Formats: sequence, structure tokens, C-alpha cells
Amino acid sequence: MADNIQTYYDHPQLKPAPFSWIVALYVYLAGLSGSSQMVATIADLFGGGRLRSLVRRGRYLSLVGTVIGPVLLIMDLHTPQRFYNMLRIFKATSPMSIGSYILSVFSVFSALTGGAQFIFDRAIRGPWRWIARIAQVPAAGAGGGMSVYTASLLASTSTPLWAASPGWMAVRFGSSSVASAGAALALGERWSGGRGYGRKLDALAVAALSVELYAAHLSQRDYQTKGVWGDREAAVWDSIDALGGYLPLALYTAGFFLGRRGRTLSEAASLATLVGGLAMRLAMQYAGQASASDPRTSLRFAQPENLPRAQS
Amino acid sequence: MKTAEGTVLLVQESRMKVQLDSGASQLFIISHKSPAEPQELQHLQKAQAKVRITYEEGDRGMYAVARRIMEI
Amino acid sequence: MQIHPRAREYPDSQFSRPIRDESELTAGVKIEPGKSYGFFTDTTRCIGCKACEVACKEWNALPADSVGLTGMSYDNTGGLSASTWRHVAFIEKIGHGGGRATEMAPYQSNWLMMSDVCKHCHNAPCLEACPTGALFKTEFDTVVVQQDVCNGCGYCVPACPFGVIDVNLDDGKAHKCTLCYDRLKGGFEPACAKSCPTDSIQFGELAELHRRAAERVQELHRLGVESAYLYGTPGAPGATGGLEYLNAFFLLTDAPEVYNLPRAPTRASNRVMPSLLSGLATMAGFAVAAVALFAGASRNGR
Ligand code: SF4
Ligand code: SF4
Repeated sequence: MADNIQTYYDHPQLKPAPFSWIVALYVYLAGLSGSSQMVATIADLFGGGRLRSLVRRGRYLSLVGTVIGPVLLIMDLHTPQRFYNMLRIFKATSPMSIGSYILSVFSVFSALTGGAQFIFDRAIRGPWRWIARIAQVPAAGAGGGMSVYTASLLASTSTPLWAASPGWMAVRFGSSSVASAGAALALGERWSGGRGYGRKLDALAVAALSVELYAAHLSQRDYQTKGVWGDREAAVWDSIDALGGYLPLALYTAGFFLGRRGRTLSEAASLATLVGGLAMRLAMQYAGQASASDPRTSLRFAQPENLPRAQS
Repeated sequence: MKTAEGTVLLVQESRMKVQLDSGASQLFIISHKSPAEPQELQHLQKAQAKVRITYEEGDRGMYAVARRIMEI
Repeated sequence: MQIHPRAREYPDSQFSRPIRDESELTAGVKIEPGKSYGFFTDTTRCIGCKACEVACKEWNALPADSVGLTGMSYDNTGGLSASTWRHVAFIEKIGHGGGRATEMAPYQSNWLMMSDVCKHCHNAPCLEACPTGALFKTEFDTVVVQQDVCNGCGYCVPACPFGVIDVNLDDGKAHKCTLCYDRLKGGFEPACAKSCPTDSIQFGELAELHRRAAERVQELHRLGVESAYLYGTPGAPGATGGLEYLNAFFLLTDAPEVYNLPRAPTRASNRVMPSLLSGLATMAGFAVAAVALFAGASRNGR
């Protein structure tokens, strides 16, 4: 590994993505609402009709992404009035293009699902329940895409931190999205006084958080071998792991052992999971932009030993 | 917001070089908030049109940011 | 250098109208749609006059980024940007490593100068990333942003492995070197190449430029500049990771990093499928876990 990289008077070699915090917020909400839709659909199809309240809340939660998602994305365009050009063509080489279609499909079907659920809840006659049950299937599929395509969006750039571990970053984003959905739905269950399925959702969140921590560990190994890892990065990721991973895991565990009395702890765990998910997306975005602006990092990353093997 | 009048000398993408009536030459970049689309400017160059421009001073480079362009 | 026979048809020093196929006279190449064009930038010939920077700014009506001084070398431009499409880098070599130089190698030995530009990559990552199709390959095999399509999403900016393209936040569109698309359509050589007094920037058909460049490297090796090599030709540094080759390539005499160039850039779209598929596999895994969890819920009667 070339450690004594020369630079051009320390002038940046790459340009950071001109994305504001809005993009990180979108990435987070896309994951939260996409995964909620997925969890709600599975609960509806496999829960034997006993998880109605959970299904309803999941469907409503997914509307967050449907309604706010496109607004956030359009806000971050530098010529917003031309947003429709996104749907002018389809490009398989561009996750931004792939994502525009995933978002479109997700928006249409999750709006349909949520809308039908809303009418059904008002006890208005009609095939509303069935409309929701059918529309939820494509919505859930697209919801899975919403949870992870944003990782592909960041990875398919030349920004060193994002490009250094494409696969593990996607695993991280996906599991963090599932954890957030589990946490948000568990909070909904507990705060609305439901007695039933908080524990099941906690279990889902715990599984997802564990996968996330493991993927974070493996991606950090990639960062180290590819030379995009420094003291600053280590400090940032350690705090992100602690805040969004170890802290909620500890709280969930404590809440589990305390049984009924542990309810507050479980709620705290859910909140920590939600905050941690957002913090991870923000950190990923800003640390990535910083890695692009640092010529030592980008020139070190662009060394032959980091080339994909088949292409070196 | 300031206004200036002059003759359009050159148009490239969303950039427009204008000979101001004061005699100086000024480069304008058409703001994305402006209703004018850059491709509509081509005919101003062909006609070497006289225009009135409402603009702000840019702080990201040596240019002014045009918000409204009116042919006069 | 030979004078093109057509040049004799234009003995005047002032012209009332453009010369047809002018590039034939100035660059020795006729510009025809369907062929591949590019730049060969031979840094051993660069004298750092910045005529290319100025010619580019003038032709394209580009503003200066600032009038300040960077305080490093003679480079007060800094780098390429949305409004700087040619950038002359200055690298001071003399006295490098502490000691005072007592001898000097031939060709640009104490100052390295290089006119940087968009590489017009064969598999251009900016183009592959652009979701609107604003970035496209022209009939001259160059990469250009269509200003009437670009919506300023900014995704091309991090996609470029060379840090070239950028969005101007005032007009909200992405900008970069167009390889003088408008001039090519009119039969003119690009402004920078035409203005270069030493022919450090050469414009032409790619195959011919590759031939010329290989010859120049051999010539330099013969003259004792063993460090001369090409950057961006097939198989060379800069043309790695699936980029295949760069239509604007360079002859360098020091490590790529010295010129702020990546040694082994990659094609960003390589990573679309690996990341998307691992992500979707993760979600499928969690879907199965959720099925198990909720199916259990119904069976336990909870
Ligand atoms: S150098 Fe950058 S801006 Fe130019 S064609 Fe290649 S990827 Fe695009
Ligand atoms: S900023 Fe414009 S050119 Fe760049 S990717 Fe977006 S639409 Fe394409």
C-alpha cells in the first residue's frame, strides 16, 4: 500500500457529491417506510389475521416515504422544476435512475394500499380490504428495493468511502431499515396500548441490528485494506456503532429480562434504533463527502491493488 | 436586485455576455429560478438583441446571476 | 511542419467569413461525424502559458472562479470546475527533497506543467450515472451535457473518477468541457488545442493521436527521458477498472498522483449490481425471518 502518496499541493482530486442533509434524510425515510411496508405485508399474509393493528400501522408508516420521499428528492435537485426528466429514460448503470422507478412503483402501490386501508378503517363498504391486500404485494417488493437501492446509489460513485465496500454497505442499509421499521412499529404497538406483538417486533429489530453491526465490522475491514480509514473515520464509526447498535441491543436485552417492567427500556431501545439509523445515514453521507475532498484518501484508494481482480 | 440594459454579444449554455450601455461588458449566468430557459437565449444572440436584465451579484465566481431578461 | 495545400487558398490575413473545414488547416484533420476524436496532451511540451485556459474561457463565455492567489506555485486556478474546463497544473520540482539541484534532466525538469481537461472517457462514469440522459455521447465520440435536459441532480459529480464535472449552484446545471462540440460541428479545432503555441495539446482522430503519442514516447526515451509514459491509452494507468481508454489522454513524466491524477480509477457502474444484489438478498433474508416470526405468532394463538 502506497502510504507516502504525493498530492498536488493537497488540492482535492475528486469533487464531493453536491448533496445536502436532505439526501441522508431521504435515504433514512426510504428505508424506514420501505421496510415497514414489507413487514406489514408479511404480517398480513402470514399472521393469520391476528396482526391487523400492526398491518394497519405499517401501511400508514410506509406512506411517510410515499409522501415525503419524492418531495425531499425534488428539493435536492438544483433545477427542481425539471424533476420529471428523471422518468425520461431508464438506465441500468445508474442507481439514481433505477431508484426513481423503484420510488415510483413504491409510491403508487403503497399509496393505494394505505388509501384503501384508510377507507376500510372508516367502515365504508367496498372491496377496500382486498385492494389493499393485492396492492401491498408490489408495494412490499418495491419497499425492499427502497431499503437498499440507496446504498447502491452511494456505492456506484468514485467517492472513496462509498465505493470501498459496496456489498456490505447495502447489507448495512437494508438491516438498518428493517431495524428501524421494527422499532417504529413496536413503539406504535406499545404507545397505542396494544399488548400483543411488541416482543416479536423487538426480536426482528434485534436480529437486524446484529446483522447491521456485523456488516459494519466487515465493511470497516474493507475500508482498512483499501486505505480509506483514518483516526477520524474510526472515531465516527465507533460512535455510530455504539449509538445505533450496541446501545439499543443492550436496552433490548435488559428490557427482555425485566419482562413487563422492562417496557420503558424496550421503548428506549426502539428510540435509540430509530435515532441510530438516521445518524448512520448522515455519517455515511458526510464522511463520504469528506473522503472525496481529501486527496490523500482518494489517490490512495485509486491504486492498482484496489482494482476488481478481473479488471486490473 | 439590480437592473441593467445592454446588447447581447454571446450566448453559451446558460451564460450570456452583454455589452452594457455603460460601456462595460458583463457576464451573466441565468439563474435556475429564472423563467427563461437557456435554450431560449439563442435568438437573442442571433439578433444581437437589446435587453433589460434584473440580476444579483454572484458570490461564487466572477459573474452576475440574471433573474429576469426582457427584450427591449 | 508542412503547409496544408488548402492553406494557399487563404493568403489573406483577415477573413470575412469562417474557413470551411478550418481544422484541416490548423490541426491537419477533417472533422466528420461518426469518427472518434480526442486530445493528446503532451506535458513535456507544455510551457505553462495558460493560453488554453484563456481560449476556453473566451470561447465558452466562462467566468473566472476567483481573482485571488492560491499561494501555491504559479497555479492560481486550482483545478477544474463547472466554469474552468482547462486547468494548467504547475509542479515545482527543483529543490525537491531538500537539496539544491546541481544538474537537470532534459524537458521540463524543474517545473512540470500539465493542461488538465475532462478525459472524455470511453465508458464515461458521469454519463452512466446520469439519470436524465442529459449526458450523452456525441457523434464525435465525446461526452457532453445537454443543458436543456440536465436537472441538476448532481449525481454525475461523485461519479467522475477524475473530479472533473461539477454543478453550478446558480444556474443549477452540470457543466464540463464539451470538447468544443459547437466548434466541431462547424469544422473548427477546439479552442484550447488551436491556441496552444507549442502543440502540447493536440486535437485529432483518436487512432492517429495514439500513433503519434507512442512515437513521442519512444522519441523521448531515445533522448534520455526514460520516465515518459502515456496515461489514459488502452492498458495504461488511468484507463483501468473498466474505463478502457480516455479520449483525452496524456503523456506524463512523473507519477500520476503528482499531477493530481488517479493511478487506477474505476468505472463506478461496476458496483451497481454487487451492491444492489447484496442489498436485495439481505432483504429477502429478513423477509423469510419475518415470515417465520409472524407465522409463529398465529400458531401460538398470541
Ligand atoms: S473525466 Fe469525468 S466528466 Fe469527463 S467524461 Fe470522464 S467521467 Fe465524465
Ligand atoms: S446533474 Fe445533470 S448531467 Fe449530472 S447526472 Fe444529474 S441530470 Fe445528469
